[in-house]
Amino acid sequence: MILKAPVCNLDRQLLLGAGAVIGERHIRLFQSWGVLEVAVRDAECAPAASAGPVDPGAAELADREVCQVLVHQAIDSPLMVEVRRLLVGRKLRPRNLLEAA
Amino acid sequence: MKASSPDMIADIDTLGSFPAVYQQLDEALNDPNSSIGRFSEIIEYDVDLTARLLRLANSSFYGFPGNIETVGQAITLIGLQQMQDLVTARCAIDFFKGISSGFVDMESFWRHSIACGTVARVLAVYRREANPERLFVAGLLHDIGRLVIYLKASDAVPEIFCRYRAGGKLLVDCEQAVLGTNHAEVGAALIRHWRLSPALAEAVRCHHRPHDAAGHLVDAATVHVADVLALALETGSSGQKLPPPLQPAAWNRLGLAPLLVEPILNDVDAQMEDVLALFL
Repeated sequence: MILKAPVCNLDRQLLLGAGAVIGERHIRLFQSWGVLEVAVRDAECAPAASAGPVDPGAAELADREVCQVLVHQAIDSPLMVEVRRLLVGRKLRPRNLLEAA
Repeated sequence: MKASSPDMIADIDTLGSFPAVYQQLDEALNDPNSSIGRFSEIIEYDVDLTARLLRLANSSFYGFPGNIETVGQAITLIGLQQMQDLVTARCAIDFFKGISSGFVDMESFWRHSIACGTVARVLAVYRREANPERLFVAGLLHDIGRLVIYLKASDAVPEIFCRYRAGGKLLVDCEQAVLGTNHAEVGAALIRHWRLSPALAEAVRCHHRPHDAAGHLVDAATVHVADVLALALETGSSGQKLPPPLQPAAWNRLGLAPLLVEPILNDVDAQMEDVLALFL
């Protein structure tokens, strides 16, 4: 699902911008933050599903590479957990596209 | 032999002065009688700057693609202060254009600098800062002291890199050990020498120690976080290959949720191509 409008808390602080792709994890976080409902775009506007299951070996290699890049970071902090997840996803993305081609 | 920041800055005079267009814009900004027409005249005198300003106004930065046709419209859209910030960025890159240090791939240097500036700008947008362009400039110039070191302390640079490549240390700490100063201090001194804003100098001086910033803590924290994220994205390097340790207090100072990193990096991706085309 894609957010149609930004999600803000009661102090009007932005939690997540419009256009962000959200999943079950986001919904759980929204609930923990007291956000009861969000606006999402119509289903037909959603991007194509990801390019299928990821090769566990490739995911492990990507994770190792990312951990080397983040060697100076507190890898267990909530911020770095998120950064690590995103960087691994970025490393897998082009490889998946190449395999799909 | 140790070279202090002021020594290196005094020596940089030999590279030339900051472009006149910046000084003219600064004077016009401080003149209450200046009009948009006056600013347009100054910009239009510089053909390259005019073209870049129009490209910028029509880029994904501002979301009015193809609709801005004159410098006056561009200034109205972007705002005077923001326009001066962008001119500052352009002038700084031009200042070092054509200079080869031999110690760093200049394209890689500017790619990292532009990535840091773009991340800093997007962080500022998510924080709803009034003028996100000033954070773009701060991010763009955060490592500019390294160019001064590579050019003006070239005898000491092999020793700096020898210590860095031995592993376990950050490049900034190796600079400090060899030179008795570091690129953040040198960069801030250069910015003061150019008579740019004290906030900009402080953000650059404290981008590795954001808690030390005198009065500009959020700006320093923004550049610190942007530097870490830009290096994590592996979009270039000024010499330091891996992101330095992110200070949790700096991230907390921005007041952003970790979940926002994904849309922030998506926005950076969307803007980077336009920004690279504008400045490189």
